[in-house]
Amino acid sequence: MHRQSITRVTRQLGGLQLSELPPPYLAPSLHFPLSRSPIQCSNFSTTAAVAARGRDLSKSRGVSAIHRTGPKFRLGASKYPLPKPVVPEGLEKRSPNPNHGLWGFFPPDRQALSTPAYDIAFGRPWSIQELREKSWEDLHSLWWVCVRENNRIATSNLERERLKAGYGEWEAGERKRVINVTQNGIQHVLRERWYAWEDAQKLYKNGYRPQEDDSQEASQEPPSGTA
Amino acid sequence: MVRRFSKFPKKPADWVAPSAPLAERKQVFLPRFTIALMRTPFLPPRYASFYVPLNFNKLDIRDYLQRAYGVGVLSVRSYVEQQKVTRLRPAGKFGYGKLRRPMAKKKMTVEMKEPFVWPEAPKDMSAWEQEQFHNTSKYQSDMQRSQRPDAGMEPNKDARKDYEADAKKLLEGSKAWRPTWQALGLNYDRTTIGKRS
Repeated sequence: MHRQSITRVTRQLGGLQLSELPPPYLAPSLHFPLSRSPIQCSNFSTTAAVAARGRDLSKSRGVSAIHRTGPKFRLGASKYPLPKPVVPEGLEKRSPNPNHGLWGFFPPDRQALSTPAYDIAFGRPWSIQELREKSWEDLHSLWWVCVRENNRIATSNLERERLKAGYGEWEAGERKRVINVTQNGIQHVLRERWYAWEDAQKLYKNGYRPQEDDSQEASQEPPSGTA
Repeated sequence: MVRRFSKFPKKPADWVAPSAPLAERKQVFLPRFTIALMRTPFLPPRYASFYVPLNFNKLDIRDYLQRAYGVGVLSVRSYVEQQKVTRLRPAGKFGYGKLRRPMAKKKMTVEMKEPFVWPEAPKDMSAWEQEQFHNTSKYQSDMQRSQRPDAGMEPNKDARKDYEADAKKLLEGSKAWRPTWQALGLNYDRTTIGKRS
């Protein structure tokens, strides 16, 4: 401590002459300091001159969120009262649209998941013979009914696993299997129609004209009613 | 060779603008995939999350929800959820196999035009026979554990419980102590042996 104060004094005085110091055998620390002092000492400061002008360039000096000082200046939003935070439980419930499209992912009773009794109450799949009589519009809308039902079953499965509700996986799987049979039937019928159309194209390219044949046959053969 | 930079990348010959009429665009008439709605209580009501096939993109789900469900979508976020490495065999089959990673799942969160709130989960699970289901699964897992080769090394917990209950009864004095041979009705009085000697 004493040694450091002597050192500081010598520094602040601008460095004494070697001759003014005590001889090194009396005070070797003044001549050969073992460690530099951690306190920075200088006999003049450049920051004092700038600060002395009374101009602070930092606009947010002294503004602290921790100490709740508030802004230095009046802000544009200051005229409005601050909103109070609300606990999420205290929020009033949104009134959702009762006809929202996402209800299509739920059973008709609008429960979170379907019961096994509802899932197992299904009929048979559409047979191919029934599907053959349907138009493309009918088949297409039936396909999308199947797609929506598949999505509903997948949603119910997720929810059943999440809630660990119990039985119902087998019932949902059976329902899904029947839907898949119907979808395969629709694809089969469309494939048949495609092949029929291809064959008809081939025949037409080979020169087959059904209308002419029919008219020729009709003119050659006698009508069956007279025979 | 001098590289030629072009500011606008060349589009393929069969490229159709997204603003083209529907008949000119590539349409999917018979989709075979399934999407599932997830329960997301942590999301605001105008958001909904779906599990979608991996090859689904944001435009796909926007169009799908609009056409199949009539749900207007404002924005979509998507996330591919990598699955954990497992040794279980796929499709719930028995036994272990090599280390493998199940196929990733894709989740998409859409912001809808109208809010939708999930229905409450049912309180009464009797329609799903929850209790019976869990009792059965516990019984099955216990049976499987007892069939394992190292099952003999495991303590018999039922027997331990019975012994403990019996010991408590004996200490309380509600049950009188009888040696095993008495309980079994055996007779160790070797009268015949004593007569011979």
